[in-house]
Amino acid sequence: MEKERLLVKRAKRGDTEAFASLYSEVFQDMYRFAFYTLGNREDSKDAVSEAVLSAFSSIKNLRKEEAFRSWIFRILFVKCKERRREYANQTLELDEAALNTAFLEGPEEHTLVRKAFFELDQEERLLIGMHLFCGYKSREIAELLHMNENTVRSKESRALKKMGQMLNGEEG
Amino acid sequence: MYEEELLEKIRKSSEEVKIPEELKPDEIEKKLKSTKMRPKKWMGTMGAAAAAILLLCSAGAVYRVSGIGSKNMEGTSCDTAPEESAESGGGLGDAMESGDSEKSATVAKAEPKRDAGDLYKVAEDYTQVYQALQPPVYSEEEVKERGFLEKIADNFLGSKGSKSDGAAGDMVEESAVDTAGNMEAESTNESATADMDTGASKGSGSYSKTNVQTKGVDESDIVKTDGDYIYTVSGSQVTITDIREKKMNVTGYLTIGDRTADTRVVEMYVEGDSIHLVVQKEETILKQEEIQMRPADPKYHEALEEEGESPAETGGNEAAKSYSDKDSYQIETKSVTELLTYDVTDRKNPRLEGTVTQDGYYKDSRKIGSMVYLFTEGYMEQASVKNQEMVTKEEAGGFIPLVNGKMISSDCIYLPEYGNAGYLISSVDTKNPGEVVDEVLILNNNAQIYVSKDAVYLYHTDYEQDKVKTKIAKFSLKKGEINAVGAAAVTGEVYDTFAVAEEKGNLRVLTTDWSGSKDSNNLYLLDENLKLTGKLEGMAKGEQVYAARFLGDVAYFVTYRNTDPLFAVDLSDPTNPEILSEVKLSGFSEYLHFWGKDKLVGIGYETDEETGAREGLKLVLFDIKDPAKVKIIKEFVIQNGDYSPALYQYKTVLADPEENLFGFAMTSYQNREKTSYLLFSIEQGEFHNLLTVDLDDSASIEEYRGIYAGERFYLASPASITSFDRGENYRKIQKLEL
Repeated sequence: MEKERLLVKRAKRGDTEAFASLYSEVFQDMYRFAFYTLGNREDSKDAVSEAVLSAFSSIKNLRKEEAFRSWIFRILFVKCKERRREYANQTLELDEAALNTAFLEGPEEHTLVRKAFFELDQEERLLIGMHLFCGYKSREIAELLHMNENTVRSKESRALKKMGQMLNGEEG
Repeated sequence: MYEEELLEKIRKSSEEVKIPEELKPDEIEKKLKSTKMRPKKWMGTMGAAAAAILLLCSAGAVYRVSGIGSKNMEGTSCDTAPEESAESGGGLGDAMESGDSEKSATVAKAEPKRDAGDLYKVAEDYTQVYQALQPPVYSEEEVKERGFLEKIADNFLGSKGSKSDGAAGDMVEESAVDTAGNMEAESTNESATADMDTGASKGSGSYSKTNVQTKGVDESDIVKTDGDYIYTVSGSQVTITDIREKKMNVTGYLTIGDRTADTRVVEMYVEGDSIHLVVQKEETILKQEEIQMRPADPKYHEALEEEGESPAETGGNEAAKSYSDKDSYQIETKSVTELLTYDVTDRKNPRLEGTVTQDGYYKDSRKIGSMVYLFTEGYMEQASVKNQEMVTKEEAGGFIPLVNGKMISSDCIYLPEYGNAGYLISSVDTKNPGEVVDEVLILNNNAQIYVSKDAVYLYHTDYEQDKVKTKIAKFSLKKGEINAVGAAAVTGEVYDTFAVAEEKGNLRVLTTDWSGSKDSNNLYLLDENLKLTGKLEGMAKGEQVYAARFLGDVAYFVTYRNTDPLFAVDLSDPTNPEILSEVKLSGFSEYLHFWGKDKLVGIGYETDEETGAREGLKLVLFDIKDPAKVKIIKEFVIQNGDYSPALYQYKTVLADPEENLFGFAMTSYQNREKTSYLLFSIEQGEFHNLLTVDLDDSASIEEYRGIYAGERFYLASPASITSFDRGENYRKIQKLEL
């Protein structure tokens, strides 16, 4: 914790190395979040890099130094939301080809989980992603999504149930 | 498969996803170096900041002199200024004179708004509101030198740099409370609003009402009945179904006329021959959006140019500017909430009687007597203004929300230590349905509300250093007038909607503190001015609050890790709450409902005590006749029950001890997803399943309501109503598709 505080302090002074070090702790989850929410590799990459640039240029605003993770995910969330909005306008939801490549990564048990996950709708994926990759609590998710906290919990719970059902079905 | 296990699987699967080379930290570092982007320094210059502070103080002075008559003086926030200014900042105000008089014209309400302790301060003017939305304007070093640091909330969203009047000096301390203003006006609920029971018993018998959080405080819902008709909300209309005869008939529709597809009825209230609809309207607008996260602040750029600083900084500035110049158009949605009142004396021809509109996304509402309180929320636009030293009304139009087409006046705006989401509360007397009685806007990033018969409490979680706090502000509701009473902060986070409750003006708050190495649970007792009277900390270590209910002087709550203890705590001595008893059982309850005077029903999950794995939904009946000896009467496990909205959305529950009915919808994932509605009665300590109905409509599980009217029971959703004969073992009578 103390180390992170110092790194943030340094990053605020423009130290790219310190910033990169902070980033190295979160970039994997950032990309996973973007990818599991957007389902598109290119867009996920862009969203993450835009978020990183925004974060670096505004890290001075980060008042609570130990909150780096929560803060940078908030920026990423906004970036992903912008893209989701674009999707909504284009009525194009997932890049099938890109998804299929992604499905093939890793052992089969993982590709099955991934497939089931992408069967969920956008909102459900977002809820789980925010919980799992961003590490947000229901309340924070509720805040960011303008939802009732209980709704967040029940929606996530239902989504997971649905997924469990799909997986059980496929296994059995 | 259980949730945790599934989440772990998702996580594992994600670890296989290759991360693009360009995103690797060293690549990013290279990129950052080469683009010469530097973090911007908030130089903002102390000069500018100080000027703003002085101005705000002087505005306050004007407010004091010209705004209100002396009679009301005691009641205003200004009254608290003298003693607080002795501590800090007051000298500034005295030293400054200014001709700012924007304020004086806007004081129109019967009683000026008071501050909510140190948590929310009434804005002096729109300039101060604008300031509150901006990122801090001076660096930490500068702030420290000036001794302001302690006054500014250390939060990463930190946007408030101009707490000026000294009152912001002390952050709300744990359990310490500032009850600004005099309390003489707040002698609390000696006059509980009279005409509480709205529908009364009409027609042949009694009928069910929406399951609410607080008795006597009505809540809107998607299905309502008055004993003669059932009203169901669907899309942009309400269907009115006549249930007076055995055969149901659709009598009429209430359609919100010439509306776009982006308009929908959210919920409604039914009272006699009036229906009040809460309508959500979403307008899509094309908007220029900055790529930067931070709002463009002309002052900031000016300051940068003037100061110059080191060459590196200047270079950084240019880079930053070109970045922010790459504006793009974005489609943004703007939400407006409406309260439409219809006269339905003629059920076939509803007539619109009045409309109130309010900016923001619908959050919640309550109806107390004839008064409807509407809660909406929206992010405040961080509009740039030309002259920040005095934000004009025209400029304020860019970011101040509207109620009934009018901008909220600054003396009805509450500013916190930080925040850029506006929480808007308005009151409408349904006897005069086109007009707003009062309104307040409270800046807060994520407030929850609890409404008692005569107050609304706004609470949110705050993270300070390594501590978790719940910060609470109390606003009294008197005949529609909304005014602050005080504020408090307690340790821990509120985990259950029912964990905040008022009894005879005193507030009880149950929290879980997860900041330490082990979770622990705390109970706080606060008086009518939110002053802490007693507390009980460190209960049920390692567990979290799952459900809570307060009855008279006893608090009941469930915590959980592997087993589910139900605690009963004696609150009769407000200075010394004491644990009376603790019953342990397997599983946990998520929702509790009192059953008569001496029983308590819980609904939750049964779990395996070893593994914690869920083994179905569970109903529990407790005997609470003697709170010191709480006993389990019955545990009833529904093995194929995997989920019920009853756990998290109390409005979906039918819980009526007088009629002896307990109903809820449930999902089972055993073979394939199956939803059903279950109705129980409780007789001689046993749960009796009166009725089970498979749900196969297009409605979602949260949209089913079990209701009764006289001799019949109805299962209603936006898609259909099915009737059952209560006298004939709940034999199905008719299904009416809507």
